[in-house]
Amino acid sequence: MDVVKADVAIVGAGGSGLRAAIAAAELNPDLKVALISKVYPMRSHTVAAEGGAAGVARDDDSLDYHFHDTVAGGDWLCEQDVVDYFVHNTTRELYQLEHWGCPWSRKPDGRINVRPFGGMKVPRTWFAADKTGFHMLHTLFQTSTKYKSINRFDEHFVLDILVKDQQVYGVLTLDMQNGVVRMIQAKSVIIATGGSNRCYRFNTNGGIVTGDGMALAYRHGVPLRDMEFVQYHPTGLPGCGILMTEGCRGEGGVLTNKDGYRYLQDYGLGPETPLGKPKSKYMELGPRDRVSQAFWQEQQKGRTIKTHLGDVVNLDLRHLGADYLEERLPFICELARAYVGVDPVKEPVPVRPTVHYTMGGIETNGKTGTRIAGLYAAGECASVGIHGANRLGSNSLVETVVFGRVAGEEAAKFAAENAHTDTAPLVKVAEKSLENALSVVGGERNESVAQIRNEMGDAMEEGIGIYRTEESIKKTIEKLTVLKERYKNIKVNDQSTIFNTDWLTAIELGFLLGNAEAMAYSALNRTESRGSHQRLDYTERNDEKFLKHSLANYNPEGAPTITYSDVKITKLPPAKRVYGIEAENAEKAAKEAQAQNAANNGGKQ
Amino acid sequence: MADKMKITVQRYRPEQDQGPWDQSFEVEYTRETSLLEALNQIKDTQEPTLSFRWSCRMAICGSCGMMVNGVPKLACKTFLRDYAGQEMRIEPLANFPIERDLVVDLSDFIEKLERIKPYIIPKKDEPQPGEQREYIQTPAQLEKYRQFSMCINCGICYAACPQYKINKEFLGPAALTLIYRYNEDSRDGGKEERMKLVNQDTGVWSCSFVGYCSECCPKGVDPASAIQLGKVESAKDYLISMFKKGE
Amino acid sequence: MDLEKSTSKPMTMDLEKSTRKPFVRPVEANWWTKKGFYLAYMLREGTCLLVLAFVLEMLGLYIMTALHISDIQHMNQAGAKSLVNYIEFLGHPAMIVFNVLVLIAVLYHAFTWFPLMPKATRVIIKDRKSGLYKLLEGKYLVALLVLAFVTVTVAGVIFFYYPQLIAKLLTPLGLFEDSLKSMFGKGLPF
Repeated sequence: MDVVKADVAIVGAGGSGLRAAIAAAELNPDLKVALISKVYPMRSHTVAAEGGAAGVARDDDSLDYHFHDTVAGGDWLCEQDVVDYFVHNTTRELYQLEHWGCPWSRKPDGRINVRPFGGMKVPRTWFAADKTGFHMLHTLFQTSTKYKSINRFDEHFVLDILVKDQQVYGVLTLDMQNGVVRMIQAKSVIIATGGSNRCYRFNTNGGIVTGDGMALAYRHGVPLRDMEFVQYHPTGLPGCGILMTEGCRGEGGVLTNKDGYRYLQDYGLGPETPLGKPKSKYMELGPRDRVSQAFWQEQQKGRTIKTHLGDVVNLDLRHLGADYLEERLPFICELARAYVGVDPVKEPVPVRPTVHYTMGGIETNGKTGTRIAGLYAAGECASVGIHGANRLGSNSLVETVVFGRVAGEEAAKFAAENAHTDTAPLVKVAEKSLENALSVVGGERNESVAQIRNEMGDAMEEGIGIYRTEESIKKTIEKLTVLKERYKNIKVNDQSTIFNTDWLTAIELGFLLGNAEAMAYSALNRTESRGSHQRLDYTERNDEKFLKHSLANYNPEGAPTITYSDVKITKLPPAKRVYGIEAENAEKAAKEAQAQNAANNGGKQ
Repeated sequence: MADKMKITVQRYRPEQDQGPWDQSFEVEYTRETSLLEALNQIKDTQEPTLSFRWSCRMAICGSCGMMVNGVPKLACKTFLRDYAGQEMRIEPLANFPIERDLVVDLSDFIEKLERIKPYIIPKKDEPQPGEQREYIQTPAQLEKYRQFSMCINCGICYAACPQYKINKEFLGPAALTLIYRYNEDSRDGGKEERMKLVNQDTGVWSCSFVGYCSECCPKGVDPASAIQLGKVESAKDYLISMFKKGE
Repeated sequence: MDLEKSTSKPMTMDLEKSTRKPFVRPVEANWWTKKGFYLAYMLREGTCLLVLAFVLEMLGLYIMTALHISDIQHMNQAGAKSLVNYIEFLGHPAMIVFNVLVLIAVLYHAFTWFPLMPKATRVIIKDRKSGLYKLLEGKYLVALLVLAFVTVTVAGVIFFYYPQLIAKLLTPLGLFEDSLKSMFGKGLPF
């Protein structure tokens, strides 16, 4: 087996992986960094993020506001100390990207511009038109080429991570172009492989978003945390699920039902704001979970629009005008024209909620470390604790760089403090992993990868969608159990070693099935409604019982075991999560109470 | 409406084949069906061993460039409806070695992107902004390079370029565009270093301005424009160096 | 090669040794005939040959006529014959066809070059890449009018300030001497 020795191995070369690689290279140029990705870095799905990245930039904004928005937006399931670190480091990272060449959109005076986003009190979303993720990713990739110590392993599929006695020693990869296996021995490993949203049939994600890293860490005993929290983005194109950024609404776009009525005012986000004058935390600038849930409610009432691609509502941008759309949302216009044949300048765009983001992921501490020594995780694949039960739009793009950097530095420190172990025993471990990976190839089998994948995707949509019930979840779990059995009988026809995508999609499907199960069991056991996890049979939030992270622990024999861990609350105790006028009133009441308190205290003294 | 389309795919399996050969499929399509979806339909239900790259489905990741009836295109942004009444013939991106089926070897292209120092090289005589400050860059300064920063690295312009076809040493449209993008960035001070690559025989002067790269670019980047502007810069560079020699 | 003919023996996956075998497609000599865009480009480049022939034609005619310059100036028979030859040569059907071909080639070159021209310019107005770039696309009539306007203006200015120059350009052949004289109403400076 081909063996390459590195100090730090990074799996995944999207926003987090690239940032981690640069951080490691800058912290310690003597370390050899192996940056491994199953695609070329610029294909990573960070590329598809559109709207922007959050960072306090305006004088009327504050880190406290960002903290509050994030914790309340996450329905108090956030690690508050980690959120605190996060909000303190967003702008530094975004300015760093600016220094590296990211073409952020500017104000006339040449300074960074920001736009409003859902659930954010003050506009603080940095953007590069509507291709923010694209520009961030390309900036990071291009900048990474500057560092001699970063060795890229493009189009290397990671088959397994090599773990012995609760410590990681490297990864086993398949060089897809040459058709050879290559063990990359490393002192520390960072997983930065993105979400697992291909568990669902309709999603905004690329084909590569199959939760590989989550599955690998999970199988080696790191719990997947808060997996029941899956974000539906309210505005995806019907049929294909392609994303229409929240920036559409941030710039003033509105959502209307079949009667042309701005229905969000009926769901605790009102009163209606004037057309073209978006108001933070009102109406279309509500958080994603609420806006997606409102669609479902409208659908139940029969007030959505029926099309040959399913039920939709309208995202109306016409009042913004052609010039403004061309400046702020050119990609949105291009996508709507190409994929649904609608020109947003002239017609409203049909949209529906689509699966977008995995809030949960590999359990890590606030510094991206996992339970396995030397193993770190950052980005969407990780649950570092900032998103809680619902992620706010534009918090994840900046998460990739804030925690990508932390992971890179932590892994570099770990690598500097540890020595390589003997290679030979690791090769043995790797050979065993390869055997497992190859076990799906050949033989007299007859199940189709595509069939199982589609059935899984449909079952997840049905049972663990925007709203869930015990019955629906159980039905999905039954289906997943059957599919896992059928997976053992999966047929891989292709026995070539060069770009064998038939084999690799089968392996990916195995990853997805395990992750889907973690989502399903976590959802079943959480008998409350919180953030993106809405149960029709348990409609209230239950802090007494469920102000806890759920942990899905892998069980090779069958269903995962679900346990719970505490949520770190530092300065913001749980309260009712409100938006629109209710939020304004609550804020007023709080201020009055505070003033009253101060007056009382003053009186006493 | 479900119409049918005959799609012929050029295949090549390195372990079994001496050279490429054709395989035809029939797929059903609707108004929304993209070529990428059709290929996935083929892979899922007819020929699982067919290999091609893809990911985002929304014309931004740059994975799925291929030749469609002789024209380089992104499969995800090519729709079967536009070929109604015809047949479709799919080949791997032209001008690149074929690894397998529709997968080509992009390593030469990627190496060229890396070679041109595609990152901000800070100006020597100007202080960098601190950790909590940005470089001031007006919208007009941004506009100078904005369009050329939109390249998704799909390789379509290399498949369109006849100069790259006959001379693989040519830096090519995307790499030269990326040079221009950084040279024109008001934050950058690395122009002098990059102009060495621009001025070489394999730089802008290898371009004979066919213009097909811009015609095919799926993102409207217009690499031909970046190269012509690069020629202007290169000519200026040459004149200046003549005067400098004279001193 | 079709599916049946190619060898398809079952294989075992050997992931230790690479079986990579990239296939490089040969470059055919006639690649440029396979695509309209390439062909159009090659034709544009090819127009230079016709322009070359035209320049040679003009040069030849000039030399032939210039040999008889004194005969022409003295308006004798040899001079007249030389001028008649000149006109007959240009009037020959083959030459007319040739010159029309040159005209078409030059116009083709100009018209296909025109849309490419804005690529070498960059005008930013009001923080946006200017409309000038797009405005020019396909606006041949506008371009012709602008060109005509510029030409007439420039020629007019020269004519107004330097009438002698015009006369000097035209008089070596002794042509229009009378009409020029009557136009300026004074003796010409030669």
